[in-house]
Amino acid sequence: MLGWVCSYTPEEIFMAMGIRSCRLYGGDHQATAMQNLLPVNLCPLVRACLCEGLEGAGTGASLSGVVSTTSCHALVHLANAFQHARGGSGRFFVYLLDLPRTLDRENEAACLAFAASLRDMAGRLSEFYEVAWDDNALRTAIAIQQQVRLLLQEIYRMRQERPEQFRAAGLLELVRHAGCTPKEELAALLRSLVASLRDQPLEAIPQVVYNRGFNASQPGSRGVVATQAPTGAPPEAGERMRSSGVNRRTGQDDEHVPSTYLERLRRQGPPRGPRLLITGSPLPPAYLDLIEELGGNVAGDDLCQGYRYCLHSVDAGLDGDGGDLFLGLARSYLQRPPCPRMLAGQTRFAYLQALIRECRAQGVVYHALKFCDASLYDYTLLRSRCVEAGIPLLFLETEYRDAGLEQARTRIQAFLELLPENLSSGVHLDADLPASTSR
Amino acid sequence: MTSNTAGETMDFESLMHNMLRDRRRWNRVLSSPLTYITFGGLIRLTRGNWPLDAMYRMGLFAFNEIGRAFTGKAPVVWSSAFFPVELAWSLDLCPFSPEVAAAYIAGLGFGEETLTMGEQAGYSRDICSFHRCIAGAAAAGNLPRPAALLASTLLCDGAPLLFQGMAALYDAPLLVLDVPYDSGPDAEHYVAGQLEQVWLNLAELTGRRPDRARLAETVQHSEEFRVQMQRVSDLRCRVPAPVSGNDLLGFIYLFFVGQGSREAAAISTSLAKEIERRVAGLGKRGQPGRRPEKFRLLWMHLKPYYSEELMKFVDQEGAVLAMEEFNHIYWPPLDPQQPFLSLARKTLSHFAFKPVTERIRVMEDLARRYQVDGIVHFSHQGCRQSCGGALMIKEALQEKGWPVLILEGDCVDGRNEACAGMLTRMQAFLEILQDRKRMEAAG
Repeated sequence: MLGWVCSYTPEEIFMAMGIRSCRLYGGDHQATAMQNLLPVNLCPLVRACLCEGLEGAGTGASLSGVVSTTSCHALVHLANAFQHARGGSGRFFVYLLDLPRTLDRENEAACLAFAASLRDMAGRLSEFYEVAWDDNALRTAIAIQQQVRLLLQEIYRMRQERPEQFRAAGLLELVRHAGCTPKEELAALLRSLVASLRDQPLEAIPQVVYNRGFNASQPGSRGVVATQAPTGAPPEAGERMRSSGVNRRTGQDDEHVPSTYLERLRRQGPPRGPRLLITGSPLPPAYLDLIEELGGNVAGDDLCQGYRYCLHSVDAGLDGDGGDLFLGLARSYLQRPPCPRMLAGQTRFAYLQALIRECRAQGVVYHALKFCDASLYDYTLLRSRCVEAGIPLLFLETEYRDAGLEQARTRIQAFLELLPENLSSGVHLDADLPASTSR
Repeated sequence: MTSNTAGETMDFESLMHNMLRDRRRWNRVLSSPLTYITFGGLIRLTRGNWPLDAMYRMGLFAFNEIGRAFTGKAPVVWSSAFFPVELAWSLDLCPFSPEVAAAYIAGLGFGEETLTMGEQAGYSRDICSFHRCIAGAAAAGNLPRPAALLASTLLCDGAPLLFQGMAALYDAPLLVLDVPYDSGPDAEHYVAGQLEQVWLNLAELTGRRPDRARLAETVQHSEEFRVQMQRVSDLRCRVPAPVSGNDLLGFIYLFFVGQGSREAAAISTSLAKEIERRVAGLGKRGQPGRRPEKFRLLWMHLKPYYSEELMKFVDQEGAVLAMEEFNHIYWPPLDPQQPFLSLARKTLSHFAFKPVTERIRVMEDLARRYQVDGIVHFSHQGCRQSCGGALMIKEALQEKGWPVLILEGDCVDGRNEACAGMLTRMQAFLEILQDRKRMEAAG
């Protein structure tokens, strides 16, 4: 099992080589024994991922390698730490994928450079795992992954239409699960899920009451949940959540239970409330549950573990690159909506502006992980634009664990209470964000 | 940065502080040519008080350039740390390093209020204090307006992001140098291509004629700087140390802004000669080892610029900074005939932008070469690049036999909680070094 972290990591390459891969999310791992490798003033997600990779009883224990990226210095040091702890044996694969920071559509050099990095990574993987490279396998992998992304986009579209029915954390968990599941299997599951969601309103699905804790929300740490009939019958405690694919803890195949996915996607709590967009750093799902519990409707997100994972269009690139699959792949990844780390200037804000409009968001929640420079700087830019455009914005900082939930509760509550007042005072939430002149 | 080894503050710094005490006067004072005439004269009068004549020359150079920036004598381009500023010099522009400006602001005693303004502008206390300070000064309108901003992604995640925000604030173009982690021929080609494009864009934006002969001349100056600073490094191998490493940590202006200028080449030459004279015992301060040298330290990252207390303490305890990571000349010779490729190689050769094992290897080499007793990693709170690897570096270097202290602190923000215990931790570390020496002496 090969672990990876950043959403700019093309899983298609792993798939083409038949290497099982799994995105690391840190789970409920808090840096403990690994504190001697990474300091406390470094991204808590990265520190948790290191612990997951080195100490985890499930996926972590079965990892045969890790691919990190140069997205930020925390991820660079994640690769260093894995190399430091495991690399010496020669039996653990550590690769740091070079990721350009500029993504101007005209910047062909960046695409070529990223393509070269991808080619190099494929070569190293091929050597380490002793797998021959096959272009056709990559074509197939790209096609399957594209299907998965389109299906996830479809679910996002449905959520955007009726956010009051969807549990945002459930959708986030679904996308997280996608990063850890064989894609053929996942595509089949998503197809049935999309069909079910089209045919059957979520209100008809039995409600699931989740433990509020982060553990229960993690795809890799199947928390104890209880189902609750729509009539409000008492929860049937003790039923263990199941899903298709491999349980990241036990490594065992779980039974394929699409209805469970539907249950997890079903929204609980107040059905109506202001529509919100969540952006910034990856957010623990428990915070999304909290937002909904307090009356917010998450209509969209711009999270690398969420919607942005689904936004790719690879096929067009492949046709236009003379058969250079790596270049097509590089182009598609670099040209998708940028994350806060990218030096995208106006592109990122134009994208967010469009997303706010599409989601008809009445407010934006910006989540920053502590010590995440990319988000902390990105926030200042977004803040000034939102202030100018009159878009209500809440800044939420967490340490990637649910310890701060109660503190966040007060802030979220106050924010949601203010939203109707803002709206009644005539704020135009679809106002254009001011343009930036950054190149 | 203009303090001598004994930590005596230069008079002109106090004068400057008093002049600028009322923040509302900043813009008037800083944009007045009279300021630079007056204070330039004062700096000249204090020449004999500077611990190194090269420091005096650098101070004057920096002051004149700051004057040029604030009085609008040439288009100002902001350059982030590690951006090859040679490109700006070759177009006769006025490069301005906001990071160095932040160090000066802290040194003049205005760090706290400027940081507060940065935080009020939305910059979190968890991000680099150099950047918060810049953001605060910019929000207050106290920095020279840039015609363009040049940001490199080398080693610093925050600077390009900050510059993106500053570009929006000043409505000025941002030109980015995207530096890959890999350093092979493809990477050199990628960086060299970007450098050429940035150079051409910068010329167009500022109305300058891109002159390749002038660029070659600039790269030649940069090469002279490299050679002279290498000479300085070689001379510093002597025991006892012929020069204070603390003083040399004040040369960040030359490293971040000066490279490529005629002045930086001349100042580095004068510094090398001055140290040579010291080594030969000929200069006025030519008696090496003015104070008994009890401990030799290798210093990683930078130092606090808001206060000299820590460095004074180190000096008083008889410890010298035998060498600093920052002053290590790591890049290969530059070829003026291949300016972009040379600058690309220089950029890509930074040892800290490679697997952490490379930084460990370089530190190990320096520790041996400069015969140090211990290594201090000054962990500037907001620096993910440097702090992120500190624990692994400590473990590896300790295994090689060097005591390592990770000294948590901040270069600009004295309010940081981590700063409070710095002296105690340093004292404890020096005691460990002392015990080791005793044990070694006892066999």
